[in-house]
Amino acid sequence: MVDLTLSLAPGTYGAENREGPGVTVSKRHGLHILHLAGDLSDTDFPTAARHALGLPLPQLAGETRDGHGVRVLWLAPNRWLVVSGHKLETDAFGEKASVNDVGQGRSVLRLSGRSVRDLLCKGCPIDLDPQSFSAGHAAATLLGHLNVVIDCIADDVFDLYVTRSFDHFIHDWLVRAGKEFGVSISAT
Amino acid sequence: MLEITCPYCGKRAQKEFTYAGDAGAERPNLETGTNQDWFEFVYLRDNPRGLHDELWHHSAGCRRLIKVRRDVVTHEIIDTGAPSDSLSTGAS
Repeated sequence: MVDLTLSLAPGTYGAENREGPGVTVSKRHGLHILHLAGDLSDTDFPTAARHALGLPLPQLAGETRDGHGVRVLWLAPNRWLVVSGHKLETDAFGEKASVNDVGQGRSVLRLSGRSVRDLLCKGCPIDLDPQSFSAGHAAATLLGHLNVVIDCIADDVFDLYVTRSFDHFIHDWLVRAGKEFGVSISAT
Repeated sequence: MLEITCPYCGKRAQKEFTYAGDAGAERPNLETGTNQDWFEFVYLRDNPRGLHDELWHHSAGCRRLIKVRRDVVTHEIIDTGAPSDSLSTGAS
């Protein structure tokens, strides 16, 4: 699909540090994103999910699981976001689940760098201390008044799922809020 | 800002929630409810001092409705749960 949203020009914005920019922002392309809804109390559903996704569904609040190129994020009770690099065969769900392809509606930004938590803290109301939000955690929350899903990949690496039409806004917000750290926008 | 414990997501900031009204308002029966019953359901609310049960929508999180027992004088949140839960009175 042609990318109609305008992102900021690649380059480094804000403070210049000897150690390089505090945060690097790059866009992730070619992801298949599904919104999965199903009833866990129906035992056939988790079995079908395991079969279709190749891994068991995370059942704890904010938990993520990955394997075989598929990453599953817990969004809410009986709701998950399924992210994969390849198209998944979802026929196995049959009537057991509602599966919606939401990939075209989301922009996925990969944020990394030593100041990434400090930057996110400026606009996000959840506790981002490494003790309570570490790799394997994801949360649907707010960032600069925008509904986002934040997925912690590693200590200083996060994926940000944003509504596609707010792509430019979120780039702009990251650059403004990250002025003190220095933000590098990678070429897409 | 209040911190509201979502029974599904855990402790979150009030900013993520939208107030969704009195949790005690009972919808009249569709068959037998009179105009007066409907008028009271739609427009009339108690204005208690102290504990109040309210519905909040976790609009920027799990998007579930939750029930919150809040002291409207001190803003203290006594308990939260699913809308069908009965909440603790906070008396120890």
